Amino acid sequence: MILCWFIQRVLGTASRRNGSISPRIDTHVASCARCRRFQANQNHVIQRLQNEAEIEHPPAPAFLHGKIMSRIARASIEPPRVQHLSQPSWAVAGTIALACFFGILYDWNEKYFSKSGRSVETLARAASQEPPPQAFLPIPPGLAKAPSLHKWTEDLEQPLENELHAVVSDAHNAVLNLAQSFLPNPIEH
Amino acid sequence: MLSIVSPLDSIAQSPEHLAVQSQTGCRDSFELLVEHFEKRIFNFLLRLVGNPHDAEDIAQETFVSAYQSLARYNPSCGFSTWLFTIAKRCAVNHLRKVRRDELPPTQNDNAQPEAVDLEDPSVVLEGKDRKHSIWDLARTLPTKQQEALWLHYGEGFSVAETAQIMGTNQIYVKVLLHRGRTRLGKLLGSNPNHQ
Repeated sequence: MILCWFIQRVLGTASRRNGSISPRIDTHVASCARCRRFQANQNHVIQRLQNEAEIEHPPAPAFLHGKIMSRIARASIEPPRVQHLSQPSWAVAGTIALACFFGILYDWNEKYFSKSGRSVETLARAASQEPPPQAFLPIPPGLAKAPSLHKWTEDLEQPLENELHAVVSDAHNAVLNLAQSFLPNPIEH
Repeated sequence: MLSIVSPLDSIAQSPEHLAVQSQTGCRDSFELLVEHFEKRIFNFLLRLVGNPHDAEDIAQETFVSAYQSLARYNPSCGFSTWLFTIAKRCAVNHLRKVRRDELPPTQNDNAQPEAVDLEDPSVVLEGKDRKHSIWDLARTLPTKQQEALWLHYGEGFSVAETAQIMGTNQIYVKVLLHRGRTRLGKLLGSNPNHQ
């Protein structure tokens, strides 16, 4: 009885578009008159629902089509077009975002890698006062004085600094070019 | 606006293709979509609201909303599912407004809109003139069961599409279909006119 209840729930809710649900259920249905009757009843209802749906489709009101189209035309509604990346609004937004990014990069570079060498000097002074971590970075004995250490640090960082300046300069030029090419001219009053 | 494809050529095209053309601003393509779906949408709405005048108004609103929202339509999904979802939302908004305007606040929200009363003499007399349909019995079912049965068996949507239109999950739709079929089976057994 419980099995029949379960089988009937499965038969009722499972999709039977592909035929059999499971061999066990088929075996049970074949041997149980109650479940067989339930399945036959379900199939009969489904068949009638599908067959009689057609007569439940009365024609639409005579002027519905005209009313819809005139409502659309009268309101002169234009469907919002699908926006692509090639459209100007996206180009302007992208340019602004790029400009902000490169601006932040440039500012960061000016702050931490400026030629004033203030931070490098501070580091050099601190390094001369404290014993260097011998285990990780053995400093040559001739560089113990601050000016020598400063020069050694500058020489060490020079290639990286040159590279960074080159990148920032390129980015600066790119932003200027973008701004001149794509941003609208200011409105003159 | 100059149409790229003539209407005769477009008849053979799928609704999804016509919708994509409509997205580019081709009003002729949208007119073909209206022509193709107006009857189905009207019948669906008639089942939901139970009044042909309201169904006609909501059908207009549905197509206007669809036209305005075309940019948001994703062509990888079925156009009919998308359109029926809009129709359903329009009908729900309408029913909510009608209930707020007309019914007292204590009214049960699950009340069915103008369900056919099989005991009503006028319905009985009218029914003598035509063959009894199982869908007449289906009108006595709760609204959600009617809706699920109609979308799945009447309109031919899959369980997943039915769930999307009804704004629910597939399991609930399967339960609704099961309950509806079981109830209809019992009604058919007890009602000799519908055998």
